[in-house]
Amino acid sequence: MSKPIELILLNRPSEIARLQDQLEVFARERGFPSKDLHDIQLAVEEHLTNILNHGFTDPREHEIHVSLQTEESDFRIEVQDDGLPFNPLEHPLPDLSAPLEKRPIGGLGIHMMRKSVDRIEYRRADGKNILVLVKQIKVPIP
Amino acid sequence: MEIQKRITGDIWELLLPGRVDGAAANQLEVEVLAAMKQAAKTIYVNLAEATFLCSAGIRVLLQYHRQMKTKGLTLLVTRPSADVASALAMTGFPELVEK
Repeated sequence: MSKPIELILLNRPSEIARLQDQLEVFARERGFPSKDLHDIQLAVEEHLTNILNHGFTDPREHEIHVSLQTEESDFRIEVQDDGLPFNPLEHPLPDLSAPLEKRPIGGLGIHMMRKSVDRIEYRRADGKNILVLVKQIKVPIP
Repeated sequence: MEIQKRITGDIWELLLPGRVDGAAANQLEVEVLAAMKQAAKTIYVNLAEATFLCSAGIRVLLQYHRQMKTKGLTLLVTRPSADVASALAMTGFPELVEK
């Protein structure tokens, strides 16, 4: 298991872009295939956007702690936030079979997050949501 | 993100390069609304150079595809990159893409 890289973000949209840039650097340094990086970035975008849009009911600044780590062929990204309790794994899946005109627009982000990574782990501890996204990387990670 | 526009009569083409994240989705919405206000009959959202399409972007595309369609008008994605096509297929919206 590699030593994790830790980042502290604030609950602002520009911070998602900052994390995406860091992810790109992390992935390129380790030779992640482009598709795997894309999938990780998509899952991260959806999760962080949900935190910012729905996680907080006050106007205060909040910290979101992110840790990036590799373990054998797995890339793990852990996101901790002190927002409202929310387990995306319990969110109902969208109905993808309905005609385009009748499809509800909500729920797509969580669905995309789930489809983009190989495993998601969630727990709530000490007043924080802790979500881990795990992506198996198709090439050996140095 | 700098969204390029190509306008031919009442056909608008919006070209989005790079990451279509939440901020870019908001910009796309502004451009689509501007096109609709200027009586565009067809809006093509060209995603050939887009590397990434998040759910906020898909929501904008879907919302305005529906709005335009109710008026007999057209909004479609054209030339999606492989990653964008994958995102649209993943969410069950391949019909948003021009055939």
